[in-house]
Amino acid sequence: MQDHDFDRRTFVRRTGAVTGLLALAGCLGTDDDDDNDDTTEETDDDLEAPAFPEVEDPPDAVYVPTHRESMRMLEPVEAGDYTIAPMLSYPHPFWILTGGAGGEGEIERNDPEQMDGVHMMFTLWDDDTGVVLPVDSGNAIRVFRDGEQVGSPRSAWTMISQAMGFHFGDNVPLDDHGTYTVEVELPPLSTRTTGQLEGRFTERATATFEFDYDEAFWDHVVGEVEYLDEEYWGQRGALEPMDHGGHGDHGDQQEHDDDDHDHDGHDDHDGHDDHDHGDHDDGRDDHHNHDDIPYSALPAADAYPGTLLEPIDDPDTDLPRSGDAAFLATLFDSGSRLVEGDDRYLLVSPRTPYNRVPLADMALSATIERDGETVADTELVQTIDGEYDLHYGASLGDVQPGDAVTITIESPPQVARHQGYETAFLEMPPIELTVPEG
Amino acid sequence: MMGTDSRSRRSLSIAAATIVACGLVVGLLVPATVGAGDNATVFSLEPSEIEADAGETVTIDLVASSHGDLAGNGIDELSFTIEYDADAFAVTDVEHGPMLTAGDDDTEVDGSVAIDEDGGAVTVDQERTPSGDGAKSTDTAATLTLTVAEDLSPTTETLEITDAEARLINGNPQASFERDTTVHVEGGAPDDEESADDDPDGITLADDEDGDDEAVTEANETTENTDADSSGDGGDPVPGFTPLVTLGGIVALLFLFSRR
Amino acid sequence: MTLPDRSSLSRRDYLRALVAVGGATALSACVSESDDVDVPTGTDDPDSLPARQHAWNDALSRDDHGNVQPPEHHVLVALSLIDEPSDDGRERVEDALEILERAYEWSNEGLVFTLGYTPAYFDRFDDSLPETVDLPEPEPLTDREDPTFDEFDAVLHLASDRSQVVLEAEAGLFGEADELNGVDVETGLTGVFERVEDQRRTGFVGEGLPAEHTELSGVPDSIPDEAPFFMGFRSGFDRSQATEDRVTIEDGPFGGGTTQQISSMDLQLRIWFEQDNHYQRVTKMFSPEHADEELVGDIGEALTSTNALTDERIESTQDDARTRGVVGHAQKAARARVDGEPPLLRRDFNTVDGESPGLHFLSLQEDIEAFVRVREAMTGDDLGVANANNGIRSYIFVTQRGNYLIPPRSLRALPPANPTGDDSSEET
Repeated sequence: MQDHDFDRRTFVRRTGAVTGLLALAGCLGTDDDDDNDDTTEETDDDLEAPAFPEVEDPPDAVYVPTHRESMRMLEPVEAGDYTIAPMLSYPHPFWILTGGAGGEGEIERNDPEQMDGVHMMFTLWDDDTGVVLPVDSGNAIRVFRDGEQVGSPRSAWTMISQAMGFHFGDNVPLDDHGTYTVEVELPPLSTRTTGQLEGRFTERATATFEFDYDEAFWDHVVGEVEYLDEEYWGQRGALEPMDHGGHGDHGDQQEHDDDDHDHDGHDDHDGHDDHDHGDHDDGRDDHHNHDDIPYSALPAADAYPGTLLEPIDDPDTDLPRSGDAAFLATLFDSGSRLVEGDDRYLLVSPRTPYNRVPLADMALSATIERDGETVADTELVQTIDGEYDLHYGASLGDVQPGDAVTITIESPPQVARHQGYETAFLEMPPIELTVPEG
Repeated sequence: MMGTDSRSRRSLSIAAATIVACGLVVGLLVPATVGAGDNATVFSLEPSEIEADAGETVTIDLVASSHGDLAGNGIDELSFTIEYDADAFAVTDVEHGPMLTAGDDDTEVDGSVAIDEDGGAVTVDQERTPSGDGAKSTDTAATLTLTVAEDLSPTTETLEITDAEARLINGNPQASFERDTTVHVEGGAPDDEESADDDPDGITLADDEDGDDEAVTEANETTENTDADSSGDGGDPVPGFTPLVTLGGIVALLFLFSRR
Repeated sequence: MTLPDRSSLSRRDYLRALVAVGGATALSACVSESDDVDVPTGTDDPDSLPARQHAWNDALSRDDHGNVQPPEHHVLVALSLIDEPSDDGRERVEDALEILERAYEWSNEGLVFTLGYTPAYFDRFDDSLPETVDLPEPEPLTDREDPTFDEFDAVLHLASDRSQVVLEAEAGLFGEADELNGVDVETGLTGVFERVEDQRRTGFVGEGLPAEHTELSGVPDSIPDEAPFFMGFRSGFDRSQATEDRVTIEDGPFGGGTTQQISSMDLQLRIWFEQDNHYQRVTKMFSPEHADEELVGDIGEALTSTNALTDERIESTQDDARTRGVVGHAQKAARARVDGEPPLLRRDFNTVDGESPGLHFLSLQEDIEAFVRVREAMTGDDLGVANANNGIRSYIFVTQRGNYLIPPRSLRALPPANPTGDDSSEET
């Protein structure tokens, strides 16, 4: 515990909530001891501690959560065309979505049903391109201990979190300490793939990894949790990516090496690599591994070719937003590799603000209008491209400068959310764009 | 060493008296409904701001608040260190509070206190016996009595919680969240150590955002700044010792108390 | 096999556990639990029984809404031939089955059963099956499944409301009981078939039965008390089931028979009940509109005799996928209806084989192709909806599959592939 305590002390010094106390009174649930409190004891009146560290009334937008989670990173595993990086944290709440345009019951906060266990996660990607695959074709996870299957098989949820980006995850109950073996079965990818990813992921594959579940695990994953200064809780904004290194910026392969150097330098504040010099070095927590684990950041807007469609209303942000999701929409020049023949390709790439995490499993359509007449009305097909990553696209035969393009969000991203994303990307009004002149 | 011995004895007797009083209020504190956050034990020094004169004696509570985990397990162990500027304060007494006894009249708190007078640190370890369902409550875990140095010039000092740890009855730790206390001595100005720093650690705020595309790169810069900050912080809260502090050594005591 | 611990289980649970264990000792334990049960006897006149083995519905009881009530206890006895089929063997099998029919009334309280044969069984004959029988080898039906296949010869499906009866019947057939409900066991299947012990499957269906298994870690306490199936809802609604006529092979030598497929699957109930809320479960099991309009009730009781899948709700599946981001299991599977008629007659049942919750999805259909079409519609790969919102497919994990021909009663004992010797090209 001593090493660990030392790390913790450094952290507290850095982020100690010296300034946050007064500013944040409104964000905290405090024990309501002013009313009906007939206690005669002075100590009681002085108690102003929050009952529970939580964000009250978060905005209907991406917001800064109370804390940054910590996790144990396991060594990435290759399985067929897939590479997965398993990660473990302690069981914690998340939100699942069934529909989600605001209907009662469609979004459900999931508290762990049992605290003994892990929050099991993995990032799935293509190691050749560094593209994180943000869709599920039906993964199946089986957990074993001493050769016996533990619990029923499960399909991990697709999830987005600010620090981790897109990943698969679920709370997995484990009744006993011990060494567990996990088999992750990955079916062929059913999503349309293009570019370098075309024709890939056609075979099912099984990845296997092991981990120790014990006291040291708990001490590690709980001990490294970082609570933020209260003044930021619930503010519009987001945690920075936990690991923004490596392939995350796969749009810029040239700069890849430089990026890595940068990241090595400033990873230290992130808490998650503190365990390198912590007391749980079981040989599986190799810091260098998770430098190689991509964060699911989409390329920046300027990495997309073609004519960027312009919002009709000038937004405050670079890209127009709907439900706080940023929408990049660009019209490729005719005859690109993403279309047959001379058509133009409309690429729409919705992403989280701040961190550019892809928003998968939406249903989008585009309507093109010219002089008030609809000239095209098409569904946009979810696609993963080796260069442009996850997007929704359609081939357009007839589109001209001055045309109005409406992107309709028929259903919001059907992915589970971690704290800070659960109030965003739900009610998503259409995005109104035009094809710029000239 | 003689001085430390007599101090520890005094602490013990005061503690015994205080416990009886504190015991009366436990149970009146009803935990608020579990909200949308993750679980954590909150360690707060209260009051959060206090004004004091040189030579004055002040008491500060460490209030611990826990709802247990999401499965309903309470906590049965607390430990924390409170760091302070040994030039500015002397801790004259530490009393255990009843937080860990919540919910069961028949539990006791096994506790120990260690005071590092030179380093300016008080370390408290407490255990609920028997553990039972553990404590889920908001209550005082310890009360510190501090004397402000006689000759202290106007200043603002921070009492800081470090190494805070709460453990659930199943042995698993619970995340902790700490709130410190600011002491304005002789009208010392508000502490602006961090308030000028609006470059939060590891966060991108909407207001700061220049554009969607800058965010990820911006994050890198923020991070680098932070590193500089943290290395600068390294020796900050605990200043070097001065010749004035001569009572070296660590005072430790271990005792048992019951709510009854 | 060790017997379950009587003291730790409810009587009902104990009886279920005995069925799962099987064998003579389980039977005697079961009999002593069931002292006063008076099991109705069968008939000495085999011709009085239906010509179809799968003609159960008229003999089974019905609930207040007219839905057929399946027997509570089920055993699937996997069988492997010892010698090649012979006339002597046929006679023994027929005699053995007629003993069951004499011993037990053809009903819930007595016993209903079928004997079905795999493609592997028919492979031994020079002739192939007539064209009127569609019985392919089982295969994976989605990208996500990699089941093992039933490659033994036959499966005997025994079903009764009385756990004692299914145990006793099996014991009698394999020389472990001399008398069945007062009828002497003169002959059994021993010598013709041997049991494939590790493929023996058991199960149960009925309101309240799944909730009796919350001692298993895979069955959460939150499962509704009255649910007849592990997934928490009724199924087998009369108007959502194919009739026996519909699933019966009409022509050819096996006319009057049917095909049976059995897909065994693990169920992930902890996520289903602990993470999804009722609205989400109804959405994923039936349709978004079922959830919005609260058509289902807690466990499906509000649906009475139909799953309320109108043509409109079935047709809106694709729309729901787009505009709701979620589709219901029943809704998309119903897309495989033919002229508005369900093609499958489900006789599935819950299981805790392997000490974890599962389902033996047993269905009868005129041809296996009908099942494949339903399964494809149920998989819904065409819908472009997120896996977790694509009905219940992220909660079911298929582990085993078998296809069977259930011949008419007249051919139930070791049928040849082409009983009439007709050339298959002559079939119409």
